[in-house]
Amino acid sequence: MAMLDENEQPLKLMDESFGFVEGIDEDGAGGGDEQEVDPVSKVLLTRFEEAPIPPEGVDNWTKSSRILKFRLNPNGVDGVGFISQNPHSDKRIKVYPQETKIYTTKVPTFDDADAYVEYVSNLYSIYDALGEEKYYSVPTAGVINREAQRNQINVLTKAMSLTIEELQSYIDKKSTNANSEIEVFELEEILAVLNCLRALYFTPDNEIPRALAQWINMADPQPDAELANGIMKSEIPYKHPLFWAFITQLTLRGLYETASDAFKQSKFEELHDDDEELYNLIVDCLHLLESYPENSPQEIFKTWKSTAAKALSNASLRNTDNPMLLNNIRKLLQILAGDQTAIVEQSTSWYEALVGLVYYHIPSSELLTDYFNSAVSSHKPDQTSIWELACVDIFEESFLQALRAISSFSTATSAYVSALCEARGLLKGYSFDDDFKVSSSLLISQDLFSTTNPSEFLIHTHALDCLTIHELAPVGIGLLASSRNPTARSVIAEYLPRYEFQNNDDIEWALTVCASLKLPYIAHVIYRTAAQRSLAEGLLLEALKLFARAGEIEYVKHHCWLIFENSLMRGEPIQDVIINATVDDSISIEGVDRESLELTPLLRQTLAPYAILYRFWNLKKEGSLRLALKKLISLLKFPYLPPRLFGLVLSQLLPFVILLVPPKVLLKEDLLTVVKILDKYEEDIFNKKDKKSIVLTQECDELYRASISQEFENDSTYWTKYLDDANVKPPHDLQTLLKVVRRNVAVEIGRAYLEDSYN
Amino acid sequence: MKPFATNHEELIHDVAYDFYGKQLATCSSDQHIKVFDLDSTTNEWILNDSWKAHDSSIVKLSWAAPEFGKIIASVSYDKSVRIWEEDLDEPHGSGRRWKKLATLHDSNGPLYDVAFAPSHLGLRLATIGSDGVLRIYDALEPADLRSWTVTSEVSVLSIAPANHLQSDFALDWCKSRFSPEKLVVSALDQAFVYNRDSNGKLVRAATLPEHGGLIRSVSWAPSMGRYYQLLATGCKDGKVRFFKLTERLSTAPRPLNGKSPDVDEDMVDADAPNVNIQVDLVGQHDDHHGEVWSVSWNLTGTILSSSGDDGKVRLWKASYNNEFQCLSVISAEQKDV
Repeated sequence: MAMLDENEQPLKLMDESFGFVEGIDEDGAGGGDEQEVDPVSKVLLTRFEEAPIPPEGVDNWTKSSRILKFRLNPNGVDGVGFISQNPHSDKRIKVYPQETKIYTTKVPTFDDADAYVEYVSNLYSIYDALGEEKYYSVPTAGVINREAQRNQINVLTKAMSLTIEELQSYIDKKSTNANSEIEVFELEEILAVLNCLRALYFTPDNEIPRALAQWINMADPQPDAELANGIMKSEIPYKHPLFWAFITQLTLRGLYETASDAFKQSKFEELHDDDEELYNLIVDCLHLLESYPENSPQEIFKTWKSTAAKALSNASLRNTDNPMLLNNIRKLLQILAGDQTAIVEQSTSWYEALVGLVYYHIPSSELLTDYFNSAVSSHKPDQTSIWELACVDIFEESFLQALRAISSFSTATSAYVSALCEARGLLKGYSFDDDFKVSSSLLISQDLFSTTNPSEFLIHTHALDCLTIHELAPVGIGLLASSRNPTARSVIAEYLPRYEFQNNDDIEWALTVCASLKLPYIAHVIYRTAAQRSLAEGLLLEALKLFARAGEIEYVKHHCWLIFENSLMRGEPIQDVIINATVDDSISIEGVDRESLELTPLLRQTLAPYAILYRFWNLKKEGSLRLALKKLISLLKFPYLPPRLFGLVLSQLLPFVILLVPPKVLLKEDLLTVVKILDKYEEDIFNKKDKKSIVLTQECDELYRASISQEFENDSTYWTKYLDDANVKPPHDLQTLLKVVRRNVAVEIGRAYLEDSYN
Repeated sequence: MKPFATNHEELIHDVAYDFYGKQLATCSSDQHIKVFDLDSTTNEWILNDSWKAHDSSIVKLSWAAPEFGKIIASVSYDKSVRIWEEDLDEPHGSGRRWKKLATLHDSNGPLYDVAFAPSHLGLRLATIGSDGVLRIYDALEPADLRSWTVTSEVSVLSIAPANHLQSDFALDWCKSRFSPEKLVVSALDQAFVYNRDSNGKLVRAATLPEHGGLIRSVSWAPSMGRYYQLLATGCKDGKVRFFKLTERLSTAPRPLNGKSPDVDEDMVDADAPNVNIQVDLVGQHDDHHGEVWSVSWNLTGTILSSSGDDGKVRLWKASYNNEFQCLSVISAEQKDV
């Protein structure tokens, strides 16, 4: 593995959409797991499992005429690699078994695990439920408009909370997997950024301090739990050298209840006898912490603050034998009294200072920018912390930068969050493509990504990502269907035929999408595909109906004639009871109602030849040979009978004309009709020498030969069996068949005329 | 993900996913095609069937769209194209499950590539072989796959390449149903885009420039949501190239003397509609440090894979302004512990 120079930054495995890449540590994204980096492209490197090339063996491997090829799955997030031979090597190479293996791999950065699918589906549900609220409405005058805006903000606030809950739940699920350490780390970074965003823009004003405290205490939990334990389990906690720093940090971070609990357990009561004044000051601190008026009107806060100021003033007057303790108490009271300088100085980070200010100076959202500026001027943000920098971006209203940070870890999350930001009006004024010049605006209008709206861009990109994961395809379609970009419809049209339908519900869903987006030609593709699927499953009638709905008349005809051909080859009705029930009312099938067997006029027409053939089999079986023969002759006379089937139909006549059992079934008129039919067939096809006629004759001959070469069970009623029983060999090809039928028919006609003349 | 054995007796030349990515067909110098089905419960590839399909090395496979059934086309150095259909009545592993529907013997030399056209163009396939002729076949009756007709023959090269010289050929179709029929064909070190003129004749419409060696692989990206088309090539000169094709209906008459740099006027039919295809090379990368053997796009045309003589697969993704960047690398070399 190549080592990188200090200045050589590997590229981050990312950026799905914004066109920027960021450096990562060589040991990964900070999660601690060892990740390899490709020395050339400076991106993460993974390996095929059971990789076929030995270590350091690429050169030798290449010299031995091997090459590597790879195919991406055209409908998924995986691919296959395989070893091939250099096409210019003509030497025969010894092939080892591992070289004819297929090496499967997932495309890194794409996740199709169940937890991810569930996460994205849930985020989509939140987004979808926004309805019209997902569009930013410019504030206008009027009571109704103000009310509408308030409603929108409420809806968005709730949506942001739900989004964060989903993220937390996803993190919890991921945390159960030991191999997901890096992903969990990245998702927690996102969580920190989202909590900040929520605190500032998706929280009612009076709840902002609490939301900010939650943000920082989740992003960077302090004080350290181990330290806290050490202090509180010491003999006299309040005398522990770090006790006051501990209390101060809790207080600054809005954890005043924890701070008051810590006081109560600190055994400070022993001071009562030693130094009552100090004791009373601590009691003041405790009372102030216990009575902090969170989420209260300004007047109540002012009263509380004046009490704190009074306590601080009391502390200023005191002289004591324990100056260090007094100093610590003063510092705490300075914070509680809202002393800006003390708050900033005693904070360990810019965000701690910010929360301290918002809690104890004046809890007002209007002052947040001032607090932020004051905090960062004393405590520089950590330039290596992605969440910190993204939160700074949020405070500085560089929302696009913040979204980029989120996107670097999860494009799905950034897409949905960008939609909330867009709806909240945070992205107004951003134009994504100032430097993107295309001469024709018409072309841009045909492009899903030539949008000036960053949220739309991210949502569209995410939608396409969803389409590559089967389980998320409905999400992708849903996102595109709700897009205001007209190109989204064409993307759906391109994609839908690729969706693999697992069941009829899937097909119905796809057809509903086609109907709602007015995509009839795509519906036809879906019908055709579904028809092929039904064919593969042996559901003939369903397939025919679907072909018919697709408007594929030729397919319907083709398969109806295949049914006909199959039946002729069998010498009896086909084995498909459903198809037989459509042409025979007497068949009833359990669980299938008669109505579902009703045929459309097209299907009735195309299945009509089979219906006649079916009657022929039944009449023949019943012994109604005269009627059966009529059916057979009508089939031979049918002008649309495919020529390739002529031999098969004609062969059914053989037992009648050769065996003459029973005699005189064939009347003179029938015989003359058969002659005419033979004449026509020979004249139209058999005797013609053009290419098409020759091919048709060959096909007809092949089918006929196949029919007589079949082996049947003993009880077969196939026509060849009757001839066998009479020791008559069937004609061996089509030409002989035609001759035999013609000769026997001629004999019969002669006999009929003789009988006529004698009678 | 563990690899699975194909048990081919020689090296594999091509692996083709079916339309849904649920079946894989492989072909080899051992003259056999094998098909594997993905078991969705275990995520394992199970042998569907294996059969001797040609009389020489089989070099390329293509699946037709599922609306035509389960159909595979194969091409071989035996100069033939063969069309196969799965017969679900035959048992797995019987060697009889895939029925040969047709054998097409029109090429004068070994065939190198075959690709079914996107389904909206009907049941159509294109082939290219060492005779340098692009042939388009149509099943004029899609319901009857036994009958195929050559509907176009275009000499991509003015002179067929000499036998003793190295050569390579490849092709791929434009998949967009909202763009007129087009395909890219590479022959030796040149790649051209062909489309249909107003008479329905295939004509050369553009050239993909700057290749400095034999082109090993071409791949036309699905164009979901883009107003332009994207293509990629893998070349012996070590580069993966990305081309952007912008198609414009020209309102002005075709210039008589002036030449558009990317439109090969000599080869454009005089009757062709005034469709200008502007080709822009939007990226070229030599990260493989050696020959590039294959390129392939994902479903949405947002990720390209390339494989090369460095024994690595590189995945490329475009940023907002079409700058392709390597997204990650998969190595076929074992880790040196």
